[in-house]
Amino acid sequence: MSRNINVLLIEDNPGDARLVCEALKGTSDPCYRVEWVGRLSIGLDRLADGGIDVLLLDLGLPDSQGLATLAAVRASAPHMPVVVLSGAVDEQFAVEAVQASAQDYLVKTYANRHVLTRSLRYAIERKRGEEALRAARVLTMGELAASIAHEVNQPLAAVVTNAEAALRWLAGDTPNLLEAREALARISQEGNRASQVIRRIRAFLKKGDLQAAPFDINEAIQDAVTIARGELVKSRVALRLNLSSQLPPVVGDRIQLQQVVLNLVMNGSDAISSTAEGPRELVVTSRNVAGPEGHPGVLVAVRDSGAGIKREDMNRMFDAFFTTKATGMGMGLSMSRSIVEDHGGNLWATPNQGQGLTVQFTLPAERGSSS
Amino acid sequence: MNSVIQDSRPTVFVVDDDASVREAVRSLLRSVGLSVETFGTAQEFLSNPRNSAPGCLVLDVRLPGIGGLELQHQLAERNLQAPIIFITGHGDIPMSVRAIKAGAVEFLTKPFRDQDLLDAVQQAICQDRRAREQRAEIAELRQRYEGLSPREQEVMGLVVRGLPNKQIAGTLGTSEATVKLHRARSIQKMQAGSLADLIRMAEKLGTPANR
Repeated sequence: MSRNINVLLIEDNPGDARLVCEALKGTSDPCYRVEWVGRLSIGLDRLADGGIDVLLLDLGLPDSQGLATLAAVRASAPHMPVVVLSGAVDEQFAVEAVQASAQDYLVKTYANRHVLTRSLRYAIERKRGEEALRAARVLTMGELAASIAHEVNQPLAAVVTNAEAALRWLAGDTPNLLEAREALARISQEGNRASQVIRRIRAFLKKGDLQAAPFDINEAIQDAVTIARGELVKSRVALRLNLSSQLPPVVGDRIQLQQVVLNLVMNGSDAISSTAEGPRELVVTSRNVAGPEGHPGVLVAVRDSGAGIKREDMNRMFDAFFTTKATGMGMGLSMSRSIVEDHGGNLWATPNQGQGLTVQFTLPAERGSSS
Repeated sequence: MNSVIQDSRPTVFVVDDDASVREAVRSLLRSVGLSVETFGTAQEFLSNPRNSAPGCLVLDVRLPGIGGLELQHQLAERNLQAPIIFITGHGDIPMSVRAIKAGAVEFLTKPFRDQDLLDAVQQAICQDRRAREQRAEIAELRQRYEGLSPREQEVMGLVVRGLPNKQIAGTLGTSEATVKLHRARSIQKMQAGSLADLIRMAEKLGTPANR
Protein backbone atom coordinates (compact mmCIF):
# COMPACT_ATOMS: atom_id res chain seq x y z
CA MET A 1 0.00 0.00 0.00
CA SER A 2 1.50 3.28 -1.06
CA ARG A 3 1.42 6.31 1.21
CA ASN A 4 0.90 9.87 0.00
CA ILE A 5 2.64 12.96 1.25
CA ASN A 6 0.88 16.12 0.12
CA VAL A 7 3.33 18.90 -0.59
CA LEU A 8 2.27 22.51 -1.07
CA LEU A 9 4.75 24.51 -3.13
CA ILE A 10 4.56 28.30 -2.86
CA GLU A 11 6.86 29.59 -5.60
CA ASP A 12 6.36 32.46 -8.04
CA ASN A 13 8.92 31.37 -10.63
CA PRO A 14 7.22 28.89 -12.99
CA GLY A 15 10.56 27.45 -14.06
CA ASP A 16 11.62 26.64 -10.52
CA ALA A 17 8.17 25.26 -9.75
CA ARG A 18 8.35 22.98 -12.78
CA LEU A 19 11.75 21.67 -11.63
CA VAL A 20 10.34 20.70 -8.25
CA CYS A 21 7.24 19.07 -9.76
CA GLU A 22 9.40 17.13 -12.21
CA ALA A 23 11.74 15.98 -9.48
CA LEU A 24 8.90 14.59 -7.39
CA LYS A 25 6.95 13.11 -10.30
CA GLY A 26 6.45 9.37 -10.11
CA THR A 27 7.71 8.98 -6.55
CA SER A 28 6.16 6.08 -4.72
CA ASP A 29 5.98 4.86 -1.16
CA PRO A 30 5.69 7.53 -0.14
CA CYS A 31 4.29 9.26 -3.18
CA TYR A 32 4.89 13.02 -3.07
CA ARG A 33 1.97 14.91 -4.53
CA VAL A 34 2.77 18.53 -5.27
CA GLU A 35 0.27 21.37 -5.40
CA TRP A 36 1.75 24.58 -6.72
CA VAL A 37 0.60 28.16 -6.05
CA GLY A 38 2.35 31.38 -6.98
CA ARG A 39 1.32 33.75 -4.20
CA LEU A 40 1.52 33.66 -0.43
CA SER A 41 -2.11 34.70 0.07
CA ILE A 42 -3.36 31.82 -2.07
CA GLY A 43 -0.97 29.47 -0.31
CA LEU A 44 -2.26 30.50 3.13
CA ASP A 45 -5.83 29.93 2.01
CA ARG A 46 -4.85 26.52 0.69
CA LEU A 47 -3.11 25.63 3.98
CA ALA A 48 -6.21 26.63 5.89
CA ASP A 49 -8.26 24.18 3.85
CA GLY A 50 -6.15 21.38 5.31
CA GLY A 51 -4.72 18.16 3.92
CA ILE A 52 -1.18 19.47 3.40
CA ASP A 53 1.65 17.54 5.09
CA VAL A 54 4.62 19.74 4.33
CA LEU A 55 5.27 23.14 2.81
CA LEU A 56 7.97 24.09 0.30
CA LEU A 57 8.30 27.84 0.56
CA ASP A 58 10.07 30.41 -1.57
CA LEU A 59 10.63 33.49 0.60
CA GLY A 60 10.57 36.04 -2.22
CA LEU A 61 7.00 36.19 -3.46
CA PRO A 62 5.02 38.91 -5.22
CA ASP A 63 2.94 39.55 -2.09
CA SER A 64 5.56 38.94 0.60
CA GLN A 65 9.32 39.13 0.97
CA GLY A 66 11.96 37.52 3.15
CA LEU A 67 11.41 36.34 6.69
CA ALA A 68 8.02 38.08 6.78
CA THR A 69 6.84 35.34 4.42
CA LEU A 70 7.78 32.68 6.94
CA ALA A 71 6.28 34.68 9.79
CA ALA A 72 2.97 34.90 7.91
CA VAL A 73 2.98 31.13 7.38
CA ARG A 74 3.75 30.55 11.06
CA ALA A 75 0.97 32.88 12.11
CA SER A 76 -1.67 30.90 10.28
CA ALA A 77 -0.11 27.42 10.26
CA PRO A 78 2.06 27.08 13.37
CA HIS A 79 2.27 23.30 13.15
CA MET A 80 3.18 22.97 9.47
CA PRO A 81 6.60 21.54 8.61
CA VAL A 82 8.34 24.06 6.34
CA VAL A 83 11.26 23.69 3.95
CA VAL A 84 12.53 27.00 2.64
CA LEU A 85 13.64 27.20 -1.00
CA SER A 86 16.43 29.60 -1.74
CA GLY A 87 18.58 30.69 -4.62
CA ALA A 88 22.34 30.34 -4.36
CA VAL A 89 22.72 34.07 -3.64
CA ASP A 90 20.24 34.33 -0.79
CA GLU A 91 21.29 31.20 1.06
CA GLN A 92 22.01 33.28 4.15
CA PHE A 93 18.31 34.19 4.34
CA ALA A 94 17.41 30.54 4.24
CA VAL A 95 19.74 29.82 7.14
CA GLU A 96 18.10 32.62 9.10
CA ALA A 97 14.72 31.14 8.24
CA VAL A 98 15.76 27.83 9.76
CA GLN A 99 16.98 29.67 12.83
CA ALA A 100 13.61 31.42 12.99
CA SER A 101 11.20 28.51 12.60
CA ALA A 102 11.65 26.60 9.33
CA GLN A 103 12.63 22.94 9.61
CA ASP A 104 15.09 22.84 6.70
CA TYR A 105 16.19 24.70 3.60
CA LEU A 106 17.20 23.80 0.08
CA VAL A 107 19.19 25.63 -2.56
CA LYS A 108 17.01 25.35 -5.67
CA THR A 109 19.75 24.46 -8.11
CA TYR A 110 20.64 21.38 -6.06
CA ALA A 111 17.09 20.25 -5.55
CA ASN A 112 17.08 16.87 -7.26
CA ARG A 113 14.70 14.08 -6.33
CA HIS A 114 16.93 12.57 -3.69
CA VAL A 115 17.73 15.84 -1.95
CA LEU A 116 14.11 16.99 -2.10
CA THR A 117 12.51 13.85 -0.68
CA ARG A 118 15.16 13.57 2.03
CA SER A 119 14.59 17.17 3.06
CA LEU A 120 10.78 16.88 3.04
CA ARG A 121 10.80 13.76 5.20
CA TYR A 122 13.36 15.29 7.51
CA ALA A 123 11.23 18.42 7.91
CA ILE A 124 8.15 16.37 8.77
CA GLU A 125 10.05 14.32 11.36
CA ARG A 126 11.83 17.31 12.83
CA LYS A 127 8.60 19.25 13.21
CA ARG A 128 7.01 16.25 14.91
CA GLY A 129 9.92 16.15 17.35
CA GLU A 130 9.69 19.87 18.03
CA GLU A 131 5.99 19.66 18.72
CA ALA A 132 6.47 16.77 21.13
CA LEU A 133 9.13 18.75 22.97
CA ARG A 134 6.87 21.76 23.15
CA ALA A 135 3.98 19.74 24.54
CA ALA A 136 6.27 18.33 27.24
CA ARG A 137 7.58 21.75 28.16
CA VAL A 138 6.30 22.82 31.53
CA LEU A 139 4.35 26.03 31.81
CA THR A 140 5.90 28.79 33.88
CA MET A 141 3.76 29.83 36.82
CA GLY A 142 3.02 33.07 35.00
CA GLU A 143 1.77 31.22 31.94
CA LEU A 144 -0.29 28.90 34.09
CA ALA A 145 -1.87 31.78 35.97
CA ALA A 146 -2.56 33.65 32.73
CA SER A 147 -4.24 30.64 31.18
CA ILE A 148 -6.36 30.09 34.29
CA ALA A 149 -7.33 33.75 34.21
CA HIS A 150 -8.32 33.43 30.55
CA GLU A 151 -10.30 30.23 31.15
CA VAL A 152 -12.33 31.82 33.93
CA ASN A 153 -12.64 35.19 32.28
CA GLN A 154 -14.38 33.91 29.16
CA PRO A 155 -17.47 32.49 30.94
CA LEU A 156 -17.42 35.50 33.25
CA ALA A 157 -17.55 37.87 30.29
CA ALA A 158 -20.41 35.86 28.83
CA VAL A 159 -22.30 36.02 32.14
CA VAL A 160 -21.95 39.80 32.35
CA THR A 161 -22.97 40.41 28.75
CA ASN A 162 -25.90 37.99 28.93
CA ALA A 163 -27.15 39.65 32.10
CA GLU A 164 -26.99 43.07 30.49
CA ALA A 165 -28.74 41.73 27.41
CA ALA A 166 -31.49 40.21 29.59
CA LEU A 167 -32.00 43.55 31.34
CA ARG A 168 -32.37 45.24 27.99
CA TRP A 169 -34.82 42.61 26.71
CA LEU A 170 -36.90 43.18 29.84
CA ALA A 171 -36.83 46.97 29.65
CA GLY A 172 -39.29 49.08 27.69
CA ASP A 173 -43.04 48.84 27.20
CA THR A 174 -43.07 45.43 25.58
CA PRO A 175 -40.49 43.26 27.30
CA ASN A 176 -39.32 40.29 25.27
CA LEU A 177 -39.62 37.50 27.81
CA LEU A 178 -38.50 34.76 25.45
CA GLU A 179 -35.18 36.43 24.69
CA ALA A 180 -34.68 37.34 28.35
CA ARG A 181 -35.32 33.75 29.38
CA GLU A 182 -32.75 32.47 26.88
CA ALA A 183 -30.16 34.93 28.12
CA LEU A 184 -30.81 33.83 31.70
CA ALA A 185 -30.44 30.18 30.73
CA ARG A 186 -27.05 31.01 29.19
CA ILE A 187 -26.03 32.78 32.41
CA SER A 188 -26.71 29.67 34.44
CA GLN A 189 -24.79 27.56 31.91
CA GLU A 190 -21.79 29.86 31.95
CA GLY A 191 -21.75 30.03 35.73
CA ASN A 192 -21.48 26.26 35.79
CA ARG A 193 -18.75 26.34 33.19
CA ALA A 194 -16.70 28.75 35.30
CA SER A 195 -17.07 26.61 38.38
CA GLN A 196 -15.99 23.56 36.39
CA VAL A 197 -12.81 25.37 35.40
CA ILE A 198 -12.12 26.03 39.08
CA ARG A 199 -12.80 22.40 39.92
CA ARG A 200 -10.36 21.26 37.24
CA ILE A 201 -7.65 23.53 38.63
CA ARG A 202 -8.27 22.26 42.17
CA ALA A 203 -7.99 18.68 40.97
CA PHE A 204 -4.82 19.57 39.11
CA LEU A 205 -3.22 21.00 42.23
CA LYS A 206 -4.32 18.21 44.55
CA LYS A 207 -1.73 16.28 46.53
CA GLY A 208 -3.05 12.97 45.30
CA ASP A 209 -1.81 13.73 41.82
CA LEU A 210 1.82 13.95 42.92
CA GLN A 211 4.16 11.71 41.05
CA ALA A 212 6.57 10.26 43.57
CA ALA A 213 9.84 9.03 42.11
CA PRO A 214 13.43 9.61 43.15
CA PHE A 215 15.32 12.07 41.00
CA ASP A 216 18.36 14.32 40.95
CA ILE A 217 17.36 17.88 41.89
CA ASN A 218 20.31 19.24 39.89
CA GLU A 219 18.77 17.87 36.70
CA ALA A 220 15.51 19.61 37.48
CA ILE A 221 17.45 22.83 38.07
CA GLN A 222 19.29 22.42 34.75
CA ASP A 223 16.00 21.88 32.92
CA ALA A 224 14.37 24.90 34.53
CA VAL A 225 17.37 27.04 33.66
CA THR A 226 17.26 25.86 30.05
CA ILE A 227 13.64 26.95 29.78
CA ALA A 228 14.43 30.32 31.37
CA ARG A 229 17.58 30.98 29.37
CA GLY A 230 15.94 32.97 26.58
CA GLU A 231 14.25 35.24 29.11
CA LEU A 232 17.51 35.72 31.03
CA VAL A 233 19.40 36.70 27.91
CA LYS A 234 16.67 39.13 26.95
CA SER A 235 16.80 40.74 30.39
CA ARG A 236 20.64 40.79 30.31
CA VAL A 237 20.86 38.74 33.49
CA ALA A 238 24.03 36.73 34.10
CA LEU A 239 23.28 33.32 35.54
CA ARG A 240 25.73 31.38 37.72
CA LEU A 241 25.09 27.79 38.76
CA ASN A 242 26.74 26.53 41.90
CA LEU A 243 25.53 22.95 42.13
CA SER A 244 26.94 20.37 44.48
CA SER A 245 27.75 17.06 42.84
CA GLN A 246 27.37 15.22 46.17
CA LEU A 247 23.59 15.43 46.54
CA PRO A 248 21.35 12.53 47.49
CA PRO A 249 18.29 11.95 45.32
CA VAL A 250 15.02 13.51 46.43
CA VAL A 251 11.56 11.98 46.04
CA GLY A 252 8.60 13.69 44.45
CA ASP A 253 7.10 15.17 41.33
CA ARG A 254 10.00 16.32 39.26
CA ILE A 255 7.89 18.48 36.92
CA GLN A 256 6.31 20.35 39.83
CA LEU A 257 9.63 21.00 41.53
CA GLN A 258 11.09 22.05 38.21
CA GLN A 259 8.26 24.58 38.03
CA VAL A 260 9.19 25.86 41.47
CA VAL A 261 12.81 26.44 40.41
CA LEU A 262 11.70 28.00 37.14
CA ASN A 263 9.37 30.29 39.02
CA LEU A 264 12.09 31.42 41.44
CA VAL A 265 14.51 32.03 38.57
CA MET A 266 11.93 34.07 36.63
CA ASN A 267 11.08 36.06 39.76
CA GLY A 268 14.76 36.79 40.31
CA SER A 269 15.16 37.84 36.70
CA ASP A 270 12.12 40.14 36.95
CA ALA A 271 13.50 41.67 40.16
CA ILE A 272 16.82 42.40 38.45
CA SER A 273 15.08 43.79 35.36
CA SER A 274 13.19 46.30 37.47
CA THR A 275 16.41 47.80 38.83
CA ALA A 276 18.39 50.14 36.64
CA GLU A 277 21.83 49.89 38.17
CA GLY A 278 24.08 47.45 39.98
CA PRO A 279 25.19 43.96 39.04
CA ARG A 280 22.70 41.86 37.12
CA GLU A 281 23.49 38.50 38.57
CA LEU A 282 21.41 35.49 39.49
CA VAL A 283 23.00 32.60 41.39
CA VAL A 284 21.37 29.19 41.77
CA THR A 285 22.97 27.02 44.45
CA SER A 286 22.29 23.48 45.57
CA ARG A 287 23.90 21.83 48.60
CA ASN A 288 23.46 19.26 51.34
CA VAL A 289 21.62 20.20 54.49
CA ALA A 290 20.54 18.43 57.62
CA GLY A 291 16.77 18.29 57.90
CA PRO A 292 14.53 17.64 60.92
CA GLU A 293 15.82 14.89 63.24
CA GLY A 294 19.09 14.86 61.42
CA HIS A 295 17.54 13.39 58.29
CA PRO A 296 19.63 14.42 55.28
CA GLY A 297 18.16 16.84 52.78
CA VAL A 298 19.04 19.21 49.97
CA LEU A 299 18.78 22.97 49.82
CA VAL A 300 18.22 24.99 46.67
CA ALA A 301 18.77 28.75 46.80
CA VAL A 302 18.09 31.37 44.14
CA ARG A 303 19.90 34.59 44.90
CA ASP A 304 19.21 37.74 42.86
CA SER A 305 20.77 41.18 42.79
CA GLY A 306 17.44 42.92 42.34
CA ALA A 307 15.73 45.59 44.39
CA GLY A 308 14.77 43.17 47.14
CA ILE A 309 11.52 43.48 49.00
CA LYS A 310 10.26 45.95 51.59
CA ARG A 311 10.34 44.78 55.19
CA GLU A 312 6.58 45.18 55.57
CA ASP A 313 5.99 42.99 52.50
CA MET A 314 8.18 40.13 53.74
CA ASN A 315 5.30 38.47 55.57
CA ARG A 316 2.83 38.87 52.75
CA MET A 317 4.99 37.78 49.86
CA PHE A 318 3.82 34.17 50.09
CA ASP A 319 0.15 35.09 50.15
CA ALA A 320 -1.90 34.24 47.08
CA PHE A 321 -2.57 37.27 44.87
CA PHE A 322 0.15 39.33 46.56
CA THR A 323 2.46 40.81 43.93
CA THR A 324 4.87 43.68 43.46
CA LYS A 325 4.99 43.27 39.69
CA ALA A 326 2.97 45.47 37.37
CA THR A 327 1.50 42.52 35.50
CA GLY A 328 1.90 39.75 38.08
CA MET A 329 -0.93 37.56 39.31
CA GLY A 330 0.67 36.92 42.70
CA MET A 331 0.32 33.16 42.37
CA GLY A 332 3.90 32.00 41.82
CA LEU A 333 5.36 32.09 45.32
CA SER A 334 2.26 30.86 47.08
CA MET A 335 1.97 27.92 44.68
CA SER A 336 5.70 27.25 44.95
CA ARG A 337 5.51 27.16 48.72
CA SER A 338 2.59 24.75 48.73
CA ILE A 339 4.34 22.45 46.25
CA VAL A 340 7.50 22.39 48.38
CA GLU A 341 5.52 21.79 51.56
CA ASP A 342 3.64 18.94 49.87
CA HIS A 343 7.06 17.37 49.35
CA GLY A 344 7.90 17.69 53.04
CA GLY A 345 10.16 20.70 52.60
CA ASN A 346 10.18 24.41 53.44
CA LEU A 347 10.41 27.52 51.30
CA TRP A 348 11.38 30.93 52.62
CA ALA A 349 13.07 34.18 51.65
CA THR A 350 15.85 36.24 53.21
CA PRO A 351 17.15 39.65 52.21
CA ASN A 352 20.79 39.59 51.06
CA GLN A 353 23.57 41.33 52.95
CA GLY A 354 24.11 43.70 50.06
CA GLN A 355 21.48 43.97 47.39
CA GLY A 356 18.58 41.72 46.49
CA LEU A 357 16.82 38.70 47.84
CA THR A 358 17.50 35.00 48.26
CA VAL A 359 14.61 32.57 48.04
CA GLN A 360 15.43 29.03 49.09
CA PHE A 361 13.79 25.73 49.77
CA THR A 362 14.71 22.41 51.33
CA LEU A 363 13.62 18.93 50.40
CA PRO A 364 14.20 15.74 52.38
CA ALA A 365 16.50 13.21 50.74
CA GLU A 366 15.12 9.85 49.72
CA ARG A 367 14.92 7.56 52.77
CA GLY A 368 17.72 5.08 52.84
CA SER A 369 19.92 6.97 50.43
CA SER A 370 23.32 8.10 51.66
CA SER A 371 25.12 11.09 50.34
CA MET B 1 -35.32 51.68 24.24
CA ASN B 2 -34.67 50.39 20.78
CA SER B 3 -32.47 52.64 18.73
CA VAL B 4 -33.55 52.94 15.15
CA ILE B 5 -31.12 52.61 12.30
CA GLN B 6 -32.59 53.62 9.00
CA ASP B 7 -31.63 52.77 5.45
CA SER B 8 -29.94 49.56 4.27
CA ARG B 9 -29.87 48.08 7.77
CA PRO B 10 -26.22 47.85 8.78
CA THR B 11 -24.97 44.50 10.09
CA VAL B 12 -22.68 43.93 13.05
CA PHE B 13 -20.33 41.04 12.26
CA VAL B 14 -19.12 39.34 15.43
CA VAL B 15 -16.02 37.10 15.23
CA ASP B 16 -15.18 35.22 18.44
CA ASP B 17 -14.09 31.60 18.84
CA ASP B 18 -15.91 31.27 22.15
CA ALA B 19 -19.50 30.33 21.35
CA SER B 20 -20.83 31.58 24.69
CA VAL B 21 -19.31 35.04 24.29
CA ARG B 22 -20.54 35.12 20.70
CA GLU B 23 -24.12 34.29 21.71
CA ALA B 24 -24.09 36.81 24.55
CA VAL B 25 -22.82 39.61 22.31
CA ARG B 26 -25.34 38.68 19.63
CA SER B 27 -28.19 38.85 22.13
CA LEU B 28 -27.03 42.18 23.53
CA LEU B 29 -26.75 43.78 20.09
CA ARG B 30 -30.09 42.37 18.94
CA SER B 31 -31.77 43.69 22.08
CA VAL B 32 -31.19 47.23 20.78
CA GLY B 33 -32.48 46.35 17.34
CA LEU B 34 -29.22 45.73 15.51
CA SER B 35 -28.88 42.99 12.96
CA VAL B 36 -26.05 40.58 13.81
CA GLU B 37 -24.09 37.81 12.10
CA THR B 38 -21.60 35.69 14.03
CA PHE B 39 -18.50 33.71 13.07
CA GLY B 40 -16.15 31.39 14.98
CA THR B 41 -13.01 32.10 12.98
CA ALA B 42 -11.50 34.83 10.82
CA GLN B 43 -11.45 32.38 7.93
CA GLU B 44 -15.21 31.87 8.18
CA PHE B 45 -15.74 35.61 8.08
CA LEU B 46 -13.39 36.13 5.13
CA SER B 47 -15.14 33.51 3.05
CA ASN B 48 -18.58 34.98 3.77
CA PRO B 49 -19.85 36.79 0.66
CA ARG B 50 -21.61 39.43 2.76
CA ASN B 51 -18.44 40.52 4.52
CA SER B 52 -18.33 43.83 2.68
CA ALA B 53 -21.91 44.79 3.61
CA PRO B 54 -22.47 48.08 5.47
CA GLY B 55 -21.87 47.86 9.20
CA CYS B 56 -18.97 47.08 11.49
CA LEU B 57 -16.94 44.29 13.05
CA VAL B 58 -16.68 43.15 16.64
CA LEU B 59 -13.50 41.11 16.74
CA ASP B 60 -11.85 38.94 19.37
CA VAL B 61 -8.09 39.49 19.41
CA ARG B 62 -7.18 35.90 20.15
CA LEU B 63 -8.63 33.72 17.43
CA PRO B 64 -7.46 30.30 16.27
CA GLY B 65 -5.61 30.48 12.94
CA ILE B 66 -5.72 34.06 11.73
CA GLY B 67 -5.76 36.29 14.84
CA GLY B 68 -7.83 39.43 15.24
CA LEU B 69 -5.00 41.87 14.56
CA GLU B 70 -3.92 39.86 11.52
CA LEU B 71 -7.50 39.88 10.22
CA GLN B 72 -7.55 43.67 10.61
CA HIS B 73 -4.40 43.80 8.51
CA GLN B 74 -5.75 41.44 5.84
CA LEU B 75 -9.03 43.33 5.56
CA ALA B 76 -7.12 46.56 5.00
CA GLU B 77 -5.11 44.85 2.27
CA ARG B 78 -8.28 43.65 0.59
CA ASN B 79 -9.67 47.16 0.83
CA LEU B 80 -12.51 46.04 3.06
CA GLN B 81 -12.84 49.04 5.30
CA ALA B 82 -15.45 48.10 7.89
CA PRO B 83 -14.65 49.80 11.21
CA ILE B 84 -13.43 47.36 13.87
CA ILE B 85 -14.09 47.10 17.60
CA PHE B 86 -11.74 44.73 19.38
CA ILE B 87 -12.75 42.71 22.41
CA THR B 88 -10.14 40.78 24.32
CA GLY B 89 -9.75 38.69 27.43
CA HIS B 90 -6.15 39.68 27.98
CA GLY B 91 -5.66 43.16 26.63
CA ASP B 92 -2.27 44.70 27.05
CA ILE B 93 -1.48 48.29 26.26
CA PRO B 94 0.99 47.79 23.38
CA MET B 95 -1.53 45.51 21.67
CA SER B 96 -4.34 48.02 21.97
CA VAL B 97 -2.08 50.82 20.77
CA ARG B 98 -1.22 48.77 17.72
CA ALA B 99 -4.88 48.05 17.01
CA ILE B 100 -5.99 51.66 17.44
CA LYS B 101 -3.11 52.95 15.31
CA ALA B 102 -4.22 50.57 12.57
CA GLY B 103 -7.64 52.22 12.67
CA ALA B 104 -9.67 50.30 15.25
CA VAL B 105 -12.61 52.24 16.71
CA GLU B 106 -12.31 50.82 20.22
CA PHE B 107 -10.46 48.22 22.24
CA LEU B 108 -12.55 46.67 25.03
CA THR B 109 -11.41 44.22 27.69
CA LYS B 110 -13.75 41.37 28.61
CA PRO B 111 -15.91 41.63 30.55
CA PHE B 112 -16.86 45.02 29.15
CA ARG B 113 -19.74 47.35 30.07
CA ASP B 114 -22.68 46.84 27.71
CA GLN B 115 -23.00 50.58 27.12
CA ASP B 116 -19.33 50.80 26.12
CA LEU B 117 -19.82 48.17 23.43
CA LEU B 118 -23.10 49.68 22.21
CA ASP B 119 -21.59 53.16 22.04
CA ALA B 120 -18.61 51.85 20.13
CA VAL B 121 -20.86 49.95 17.72
CA GLN B 122 -23.00 53.04 17.06
CA GLN B 123 -19.89 55.10 16.47
CA ALA B 124 -18.48 52.46 14.13
CA ILE B 125 -21.71 52.23 12.14
CA CYS B 126 -21.84 56.03 11.72
CA GLN B 127 -18.21 56.03 10.69
CA ASP B 128 -18.88 53.30 8.13
CA ARG B 129 -21.91 55.17 6.75
CA ARG B 130 -19.96 58.40 6.39
CA ALA B 131 -17.07 56.59 4.70
CA ARG B 132 -19.43 54.90 2.27
CA GLU B 133 -21.16 58.20 1.42
CA GLN B 134 -17.80 59.80 0.87
CA ARG B 135 -16.61 56.99 -1.37
CA ALA B 136 -19.85 57.18 -3.36
CA GLU B 137 -19.50 60.95 -3.74
CA ILE B 138 -15.93 60.68 -4.93
CA ALA B 139 -16.86 57.94 -7.38
CA GLU B 140 -19.61 60.22 -8.75
CA LEU B 141 -17.22 63.17 -9.04
CA ARG B 142 -14.64 61.01 -10.75
CA GLN B 143 -17.21 59.92 -13.29
CA ARG B 144 -18.10 63.54 -14.04
CA TYR B 145 -14.44 64.47 -14.25
CA GLU B 146 -13.78 61.69 -16.72
CA GLY B 147 -16.58 63.15 -18.86
CA LEU B 148 -14.43 66.26 -19.39
CA SER B 149 -12.29 66.55 -22.50
CA PRO B 150 -8.53 66.49 -21.90
CA ARG B 151 -8.33 70.24 -22.58
CA GLU B 152 -11.21 70.94 -20.19
CA GLN B 153 -9.44 68.88 -17.52
CA GLU B 154 -6.30 70.90 -18.12
CA VAL B 155 -8.13 74.20 -17.82
CA MET B 156 -9.96 73.04 -14.71
CA GLY B 157 -6.63 72.06 -13.14
CA LEU B 158 -5.27 75.57 -13.67
CA VAL B 159 -8.49 77.32 -12.69
CA VAL B 160 -8.66 75.60 -9.32
CA ARG B 161 -5.07 76.62 -8.70
CA GLY B 162 -6.31 80.16 -8.82
CA LEU B 163 -4.77 81.24 -12.14
CA PRO B 164 -6.59 84.06 -14.03
CA ASN B 165 -7.91 83.26 -17.52
CA LYS B 166 -5.26 85.36 -19.18
CA GLN B 167 -2.44 83.45 -17.57
CA ILE B 168 -4.09 80.11 -18.32
CA ALA B 169 -4.36 81.14 -21.95
CA GLY B 170 -0.66 82.00 -21.90
CA THR B 171 0.30 78.72 -20.28
CA LEU B 172 -1.72 76.63 -22.72
CA GLY B 173 -0.91 78.77 -25.73
CA THR B 174 -4.50 79.56 -26.60
CA SER B 175 -6.87 82.52 -26.58
CA GLU B 176 -8.58 83.87 -23.51
CA ALA B 177 -11.98 83.34 -25.11
CA THR B 178 -11.28 79.63 -25.57
CA VAL B 179 -10.19 79.34 -21.95
CA LYS B 180 -13.44 81.03 -20.88
CA LEU B 181 -15.38 78.51 -22.89
CA HIS B 182 -13.54 75.49 -21.46
CA ARG B 183 -13.85 76.93 -18.01
CA ALA B 184 -17.63 77.33 -18.33
CA ARG B 185 -17.97 73.84 -19.76
CA SER B 186 -15.93 72.20 -17.02
CA ILE B 187 -18.01 73.96 -14.36
CA GLN B 188 -21.16 72.87 -16.08
CA LYS B 189 -20.09 69.24 -16.60
CA MET B 190 -18.84 68.94 -13.03
CA GLN B 191 -22.22 70.37 -11.94
CA ALA B 192 -20.43 72.87 -9.78
CA GLY B 193 -22.50 75.82 -8.58
CA SER B 194 -19.58 78.18 -8.38
CA LEU B 195 -15.82 78.41 -8.65
CA ALA B 196 -15.56 77.68 -4.90
CA ASP B 197 -17.62 74.57 -5.45
CA LEU B 198 -15.32 73.47 -8.25
CA ILE B 199 -12.26 73.93 -6.04
CA ARG B 200 -13.83 71.79 -3.32
CA MET B 201 -14.56 69.09 -5.88
CA ALA B 202 -10.99 69.15 -7.14
CA GLU B 203 -9.78 68.80 -3.56
CA LYS B 204 -11.98 65.75 -3.06
CA LEU B 205 -10.72 64.23 -6.29
CA GLY B 206 -7.24 64.80 -4.99
CA THR B 207 -4.98 64.95 -7.96
CA PRO B 208 -5.65 67.23 -10.90
CA ALA B 209 -5.21 70.57 -9.14
CA ASN B 210 -1.67 69.68 -8.17
CA ARG B 211 -0.41 68.66 -11.56
